[in-house]
Amino acid sequence: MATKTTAENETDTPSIPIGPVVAGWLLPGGGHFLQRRWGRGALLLGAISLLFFLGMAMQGRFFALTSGSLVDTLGFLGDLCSGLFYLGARFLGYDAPVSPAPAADYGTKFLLVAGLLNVLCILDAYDIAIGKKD
Amino acid sequence: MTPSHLTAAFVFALAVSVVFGVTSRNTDRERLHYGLFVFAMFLVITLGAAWLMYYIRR
Repeated sequence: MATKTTAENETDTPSIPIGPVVAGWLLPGGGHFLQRRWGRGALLLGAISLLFFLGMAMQGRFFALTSGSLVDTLGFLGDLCSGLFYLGARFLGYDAPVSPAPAADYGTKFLLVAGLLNVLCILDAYDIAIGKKD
Repeated sequence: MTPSHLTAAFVFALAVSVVFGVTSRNTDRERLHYGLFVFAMFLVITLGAAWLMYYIRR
């Protein structure tokens, strides 16, 4: 009897919605597009694209994983959350020179915050997928 | 590209408030109000802190 109850509980446990989460990571707003939230997805894509590409235009730098510093490692993970934007920029060889200009420092923060905001988008897509939000 | 500090702060506030507004509330009306509130707070606090630092520096 106990075994049967456990099995029923396991069946009731909702599965993790992989599709919206992965789509949301790869493309900001992608999880919303996948669930037909076109307007919200477009707003998220526009806002995060704006930050990311302005960050690149301002010669912002990506954090490197190789330095061994905790701050740099966390920064790298934040950058990585931009998904295809980050991977594409890396693949295409984007690497800004070290610059003392304040704009370059702003650019670095823009790139990082674009990734961190995408985490919020992924979590929102997850909430929609499990029915917690509309 | 070298935007001014104010332009950078404005663009940053705009993008962040859009994402916060879209992801934080349940209805479109609430999202709009929250996004505008966050945007205004970003600008007010940024400008307030800038003026404060200006007077401290003097």
